[in-house]
Amino acid sequence: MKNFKLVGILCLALFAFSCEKSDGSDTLNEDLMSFTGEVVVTSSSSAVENFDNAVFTAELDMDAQTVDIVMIEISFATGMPAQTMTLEDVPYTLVNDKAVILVDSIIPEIGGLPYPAYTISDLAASISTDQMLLSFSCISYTVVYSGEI
Amino acid sequence: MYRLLLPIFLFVCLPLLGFCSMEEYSDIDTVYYLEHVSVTAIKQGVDLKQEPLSASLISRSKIDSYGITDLKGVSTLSPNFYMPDYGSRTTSSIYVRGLGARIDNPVIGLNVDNVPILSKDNFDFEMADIERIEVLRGPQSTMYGRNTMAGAINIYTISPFNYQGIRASVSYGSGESYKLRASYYGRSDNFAYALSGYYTQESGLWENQYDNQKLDWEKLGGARLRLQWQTLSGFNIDNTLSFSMLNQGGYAYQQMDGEINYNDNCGFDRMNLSNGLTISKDFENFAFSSITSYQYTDNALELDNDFTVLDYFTLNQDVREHALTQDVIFRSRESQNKYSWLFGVFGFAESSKTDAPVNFKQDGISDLILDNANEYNPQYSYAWLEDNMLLECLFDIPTVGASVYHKSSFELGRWRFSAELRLDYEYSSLDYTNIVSTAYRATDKYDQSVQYDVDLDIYNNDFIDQSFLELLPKLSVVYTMPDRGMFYGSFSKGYKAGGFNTQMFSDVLQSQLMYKMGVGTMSDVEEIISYKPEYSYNYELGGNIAWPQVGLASSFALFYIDCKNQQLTVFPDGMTTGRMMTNAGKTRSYGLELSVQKSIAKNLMLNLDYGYTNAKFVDYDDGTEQYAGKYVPYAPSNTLSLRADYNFALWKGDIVLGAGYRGVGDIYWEQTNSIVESFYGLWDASVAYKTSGYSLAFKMNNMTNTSYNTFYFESIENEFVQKGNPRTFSITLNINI
Repeated sequence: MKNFKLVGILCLALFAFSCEKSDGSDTLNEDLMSFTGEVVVTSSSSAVENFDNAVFTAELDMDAQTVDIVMIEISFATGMPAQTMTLEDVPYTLVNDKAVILVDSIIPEIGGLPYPAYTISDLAASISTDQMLLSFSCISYTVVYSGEI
Repeated sequence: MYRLLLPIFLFVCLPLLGFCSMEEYSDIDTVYYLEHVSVTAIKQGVDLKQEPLSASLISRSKIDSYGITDLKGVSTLSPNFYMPDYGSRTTSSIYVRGLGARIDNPVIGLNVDNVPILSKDNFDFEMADIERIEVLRGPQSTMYGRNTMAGAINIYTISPFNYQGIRASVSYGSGESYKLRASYYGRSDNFAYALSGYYTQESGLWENQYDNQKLDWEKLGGARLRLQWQTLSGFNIDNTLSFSMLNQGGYAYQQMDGEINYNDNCGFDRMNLSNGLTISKDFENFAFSSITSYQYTDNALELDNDFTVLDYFTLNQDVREHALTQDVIFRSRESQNKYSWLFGVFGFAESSKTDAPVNFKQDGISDLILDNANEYNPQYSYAWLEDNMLLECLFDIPTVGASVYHKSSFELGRWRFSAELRLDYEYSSLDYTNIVSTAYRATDKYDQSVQYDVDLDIYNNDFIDQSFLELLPKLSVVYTMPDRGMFYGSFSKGYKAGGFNTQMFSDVLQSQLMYKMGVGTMSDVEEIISYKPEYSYNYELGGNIAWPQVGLASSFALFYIDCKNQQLTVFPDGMTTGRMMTNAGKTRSYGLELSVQKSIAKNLMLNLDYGYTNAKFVDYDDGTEQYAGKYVPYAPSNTLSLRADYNFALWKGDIVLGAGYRGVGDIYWEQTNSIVESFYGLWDASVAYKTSGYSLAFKMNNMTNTSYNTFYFESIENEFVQKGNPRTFSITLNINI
């Protein structure tokens, strides 16, 4: 768990509070953003698995300051069937044109149904117009995602 | 291997016995001119045996002797030509030289009286009043276009200008099989006509253990009207209108080491109407031909797709096809000129509309969907709210094509050099609509009072299209030996169009349903449904040689084929039900073909047709395994046909005794080569009494009742085969007056 928090803090430190500012055209809006990147899953036994070409999407509601995140066909272990997991209405804070998320616990939806068995904890994310960094814990796995548009 | 060698040994020994007993050599004409027929072919030369290709010519007398009533009867009579008898008349799979197709486009073209039959679904028809059958092996793409990369079959019916009178036939055989046929041929000066009708019916040979009913029954009827007119201005007008209706069961599929046992109906109905109009005229320096055809087919297929007693799912497939073809050919007249040429333009338009609903039943929903959905689910258990689930699939596939082609030949002494080229364009699109409307219940595993009823609705409506532009060359050289035969060498490129895996939509929809439930991955429809064209590069050496002094005629061919993107029908992994066409990287095949006819005295005729093919993958990786070095599935390594016919005079006619051996194998059933059908042979025999106007023939096939498989496939992790026909007999009365 300490490792996970460390990763989350580092991510936020590096990207959310970065002094570099994107050019003016890269402003977050309510368009659906689709990111492709790598998922790194660490199990409770410290086994690490990498999954390439993972697609996560984000759609912001600028008025409500919430974001819907969809983790498309995500799998936590080799051989485990892929599942598409949705995190709905996740609150975010806008910092330097990045949506920054810090949530203790959230119940994901799969196939439109809530899955308390897959409750996600320690969700930390940073979403910009060209990059998504996200990490969380679920069951006995810690998941770190880094994707780009 | 001994099963292959024994019949060849007998064939070699029999002529020696004949040589010992015969008093004088027979005239080679007895052999050679058996195959000499009047020329009605438009795209070929005067004599097929002078053409630079490997071909089998099956004459009317041979068709009668062998009892050929459909294209499957030609299987093995032409070396390396194999058309297994399984499923129903819609499953017209043909394999030639390691190339073949189980579904969609064929690798071999079929022309009846010069009219191309576009749909493989119509290849298996009742052949009545056939003058001759030509099987041309190797790519014929320059002359016959798409889907002839392994060859072309030309069937010619009897011309009413060549025969007048009544032809009739009555036959009874195994499986309570009745065949009735009657034709009237008339002629009045420059106008001739033929009206033919036939009806066949059989109860079938195979029984379904589920209801103890015969399942391969069939009723088939049809009629044909052929009108020929030679106008005063020199035009030859030839029009054939034909109609047929088929109603059959079929699909004698059984589990390996099991019995035929399935609970839902299987069958195939087909209504076919076609008209072919050929107009030709010989001008002073060239000949002109125009071939126009219209073909309409209405097919209805019904399948218990799991072929078990379980209620997995059924498929109904109604297909309506309209096709128009037009071929215009100009060619130089046969003359003393050393240069000859042919120029042609071909176009076609085809419309195919399919309604193919798949009905998932209780076991299918449970095993194929719910088991997958429930397997790793920590939260819910799923149940379906309906007993059945209908996946509605509608397809509209229009295809158009156009091509121009040319052939130039130049003679230099005994040598003839030819170059052929075809530019072929094809455009095809798929407009598909899928509709699913169903619902399921999710019950929380921890709190059973928490239930969600979820509607699942899918509506897909999209469009995929493909186009192909191909340049197809052929080069050949012929060395002629007057009165003896010829040798040839050739290079040609073959092409088989790409297409759409419409039969995979049930699997696509199944995975979409699962995806909507949050499980599995989303299918890439375009990637799964579309497949690319297939190309072959054929290198060939061959010849036709006759030795009139000893009554022997022979033809042979050696070939090597490089094939790119070979279209291969595969069974997707896991609990899937479909079959799909995939492009199998590279394959190569080489082999030989040998046909020998030997007449001994005046009354004993021997025929040998042997084909050997070694077809293997050079590079094929399906994502899980590399199959390089493995044999290409379904294509037999050997085909063998031996036949001896002995006739002697008795009373006012002749008695003809016939004995034959047909062999096929080895056949590998899938790309891992772990399941093989070893070479098998079937012994046939016949006895006939023939007069000038009548004949009565008794035939028996597979006399030793040999057990063999004609087909293998996998579905829902089960393995199925279809057994070949057991021992059968038939008795036929023919009247030609």
